[in-house]
Order: sequence, then structure tokens, then C-alpha cells
Amino acid sequence: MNDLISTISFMFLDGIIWGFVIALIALGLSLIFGIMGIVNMAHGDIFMIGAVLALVLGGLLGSFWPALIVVPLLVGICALPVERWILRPYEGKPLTTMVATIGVSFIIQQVTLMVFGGEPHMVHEPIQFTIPLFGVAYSGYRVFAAVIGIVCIALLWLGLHRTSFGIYIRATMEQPEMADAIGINTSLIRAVTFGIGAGMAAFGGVLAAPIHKVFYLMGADVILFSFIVVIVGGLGNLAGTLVAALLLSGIEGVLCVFFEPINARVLILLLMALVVVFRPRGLFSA
Amino acid sequence: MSKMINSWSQMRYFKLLIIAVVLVGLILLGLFSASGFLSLLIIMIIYSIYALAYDLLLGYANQPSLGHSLFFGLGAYGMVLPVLHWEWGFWAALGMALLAGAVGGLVVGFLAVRVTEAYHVILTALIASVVFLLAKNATPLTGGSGGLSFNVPPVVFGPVKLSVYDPETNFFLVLAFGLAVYLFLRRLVGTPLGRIWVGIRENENRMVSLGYNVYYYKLAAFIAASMLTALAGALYAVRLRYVSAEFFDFMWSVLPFIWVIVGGIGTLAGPIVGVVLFTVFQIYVSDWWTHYLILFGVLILAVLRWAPKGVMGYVNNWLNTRNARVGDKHGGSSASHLKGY
Repeated sequence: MNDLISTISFMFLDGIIWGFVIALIALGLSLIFGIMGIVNMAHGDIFMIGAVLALVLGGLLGSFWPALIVVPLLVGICALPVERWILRPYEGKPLTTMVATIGVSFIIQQVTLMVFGGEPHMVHEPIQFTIPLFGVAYSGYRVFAAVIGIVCIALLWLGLHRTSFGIYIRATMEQPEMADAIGINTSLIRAVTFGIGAGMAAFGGVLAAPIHKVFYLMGADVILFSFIVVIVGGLGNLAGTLVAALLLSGIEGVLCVFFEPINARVLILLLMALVVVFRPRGLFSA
Repeated sequence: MSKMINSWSQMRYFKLLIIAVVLVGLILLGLFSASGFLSLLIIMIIYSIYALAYDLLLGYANQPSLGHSLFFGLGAYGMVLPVLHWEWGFWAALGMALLAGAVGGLVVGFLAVRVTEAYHVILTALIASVVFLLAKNATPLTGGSGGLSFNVPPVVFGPVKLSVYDPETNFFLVLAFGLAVYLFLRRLVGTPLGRIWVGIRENENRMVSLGYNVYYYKLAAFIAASMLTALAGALYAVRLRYVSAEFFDFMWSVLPFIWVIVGGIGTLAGPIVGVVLFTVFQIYVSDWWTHYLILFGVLILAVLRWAPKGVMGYVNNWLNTRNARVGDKHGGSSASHLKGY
């Protein structure tokens, strides 16, 4: 009995720790949708690009750490022109943005396949220590990744709520036309927010590189889960997104104790389907 | 002017003429082309059925499903399993496929029709991915990713028995289905039911106020689209003589969405144009470049940029402005007089 409880607690924690990576990706998705009405189907591929670049950079420099800063910046900057020159005309039309970002997603995937090849790679965990967790020697890197994830999310929250740029972003989210009218450069805000969202996905990718197999289709596993997290948390509700990411990953971990992983996935997806049917505005809506 | 230009009836005849030309062209191609090209045509017609079904749902009833691979796969398995296990004939198995699509549409639609927009997208994608995972896992029933091969029974028309292993027979069978679906939908969108769907698409709240039970009409569209999607899935399985859990793959939900948006949403010609564009592109470009999906992506972006309402939206727009100009020359149409005000 005690064993079972500690297994469940262990799997729940393990799920939550992965949940922080998911939360990073989903928050980026939610931000992009909230500001621009873009349903970003390429988000999983941006995550993948983050992981692949971490692998490449780690190989070049012999160290994993620079990637944590360089890759999100690089991806964020590359995302700016994509928003401005490719996606801007479709903003506010979710269906068209879906098709357009599917196009972008094809391009990212195939270019990655062309340049890096299709075989999965592993990235070694950059810190080799273990933490005893419910009687199991738990990978220290995973805990570290979760902590970095928390820091990043806290920075995002601070950025949105404690800086003037954050206020501009939130104003553009609430009332784009009014924000424009009072002199906020909404064009810049849109581009930068897209960059931040993409950077967060890439950051999630870098963090996930030592945990997840790195290959050009790895985004597909993550994208549906992130979308569901965004919907279950409530569209545009960033706090809801965070809670939903942690909760759903944690529950999936617990379900893995009792079922095969694939059945656990099926159950968690069904659970989310129920939430979408009965609480279509999100779990935490008033 | 003695010659009044009646652009509406002219457009109508123009469209009928195009349909006739395409049909005659297809029949001639079916009679005289090599089997490799025939097989491409067969695939395109099957995809067109799928795209038309999807456009009925998205373009007319305004329900952006991203889970139609579910019905595609159900149709394919509905066709294959009875033949494999109970040795059913062609028509009985096809009936089973349609039934599977209808029942699946009823069950999924029962839930999915309640929610709209992004929620509809996610819910349908969720349900389809659940079924995909289950189908991949249930190897004894579905064959998993490896799939099941089967021998297609002969197609019986009264005393005549036709074998789809003859490419020409397969082509004309699929063409007959394609034409039937096209004509059926062409008729359907003009009926009161079709107009109600358009009404729901344009202003759902208003239709509710007018006393229509919007839920049932949307559910009807969902079921009809699911059945036609199942038909496409069944024909595809017949064409390949094979079915696998990969028929439920997310890609099969994304493709019709791309075809319809790029071809021209809410038109009947648009989905077909989208299918032809992408399939020809896929076949010919993939021949000389493995990474043709890059150009696929560029093509999607280019079409969206230069023709935001899809290829047919662009063509219709062009025809309308041209008609308006012709109208001006012949004394002016009432609409162009009003433009200045």
C-alpha cells in the first residue's frame, strides 16, 4: 500500500515536471492566439527546432548551456519576420491561420529533415546527479529543467504585469483597436509577442532535448497536448493554461501507474474531451 | 440594346459547359490512358469525394472539424472487415462502410456539434486521435500500423460481374461515385436544407431567432459529411486493396482542410481544384525532390497570399468583375450605378 502511494506520488511529480515544459510551449501558444488570433499549427515544430538546435550547438561547443540562451533568442528573432511578412494578413481569421501555419510547419519539418537527417538522437543530460525521490534515484536534470521552467514562467508573468511593455501587450490583447488609437505600436507588439511565443516553444525544446528523443517529427507528440492544455485552461487565460498543463501531465503520470502508457494517453484525451464538452470555456471560467 | 446580357443564366450555362467538358475529358482519359495515369486519376477522384464531403461540413455548415480521418478510417475498415471475416459482397460491404460512417458521425457529432470554432477543432481532433491510438494498439482487429490486405470481391450489377483489379473498371466505378456525389451535393445545397446551412454559416443566432433548431441541422450536416467521407475511405481501401491504422492518422484530417481552404471554401468546384492542384504537385514534384513538402508549404502560403478565398474565390471574383465591366458596356447594370453612393 505504501509502495503504491509512493509510486503514485512519484509518477504524479514526474508528470508535473514534464508539465512545466508543456506549460512553456502552451503559454507561447496561448499568447500568440490571444494577441493575434493565430492558431499556430507550427508551434510543435518550433519546439522541435529548439531541441535540434540545442543538439547541434551542444555538439559544436561541447557544452549544453549556451543553447539555453542562444537558441530561444535566435528562434525568437527568426520568428519576427515570419509573423510580419507571412502571417500578418490572416490574423484574426483562425481557420486561415491554421492552414498558413500548417504550410509553415511543412517547411520547417522538411528543411530540418534535409539538413539534419531523420534519425532520432539523444542528448546527454548535462548535469549528472540524482535526487532520491520516493525511494527512486530521480534524474537531477529533470528537476533542474522544471526549476528553469518555473523561472521562465515567472519572468513571463513579471514581464506581462510589471513592465510597461507587458501592459502594452495586455492592452493589445484586450482591445487591439483602442490600443492602436492611444498610440501603442501594435504592429511591433504583435511581431515581438510572436517572437516571445516562438522563443518560449524553442526554450521548451532546449529543455526537453536531454529528456525526449530529438528528431524532426518530435513536435507532433507535443502539439496536440499543448493545444488541449490551452483549451482546457481557457483560451487566452494564461494562469489557466499553466494549471491545466501541470494538472493534466500529472494525471497522465498517475494513469501510467495503472495502465499501459498508450491507454493512459487515451484516458487523458477522453478526460480532456469531456472538459471541452461540458466546460467549453475552460476549466477555470466563471 | 437588343442584346441584354443576363450574366446569371450565362454563368450557369458556362458552369454546366465546364462540368460537361471535364466529364467527357475524364471519360476519354479513362478509355485511352495508361494504367499509371489512371491510378493517379482514381486517387484524385477519391480525394475529391473526401474534399467535397469536408466542404459540405466546413464551407456550408461552418464546422471546422479536424478529426475527419476518423470517418475516413471507419469507412475503410467498414469495407474491409466484413469482406475479410464474413466474405460479404462488394455492395453489402460498402453499405457497411457508409453505416459505420453514419453511426460514427452521429456519435461524434452528438458531442462536437454543441461546440463551435476552436473548441470544435480540438474536440474532433481529440476524438480522432483517441481512435487512432486505439486502432494502432488493437492489432488483432485492425492490423495496427502494418495493416490488413484483402481481396476485393467482384462488383455485381445484376447479371454483370466486374472486377476492380482491372484499372479501367476501377476508374469508371470511382468516377460514377464521384459524379454521383458531386451532383447530389450540387442539388443538396440548392434545397431548403442547403439554404438553411448557409443561413447558419452566415448568422447562426439569426437562424435560432427564426425558430430553426440549429443543432439538428448542424448534426445532419455532420452525419452527411461523415458518410461521404466514409465512402471516400472505403473506395481508397478498395483502390489500395489494403487498410491500416494509419488511415486514422492526423494527416488525413489535415489534408481535406488544406484542399478546401486552398481550393475555395463554400464552393463545389473549389475542393476539386484544391485536390487536383495538390495531388498533381505531390506526384510530379515528389518524383524529382524528396523534400517536396517544402514546396507544398510554399504553395499553400502563395495561394493564401494571392487568393485569400482560395483558387475558386479568385476565379469567381475575376468572373464577377469581368461581368460587371461587360454590363457597363451594354448600358450598365443597376449594381454599378449604385457603387458611387
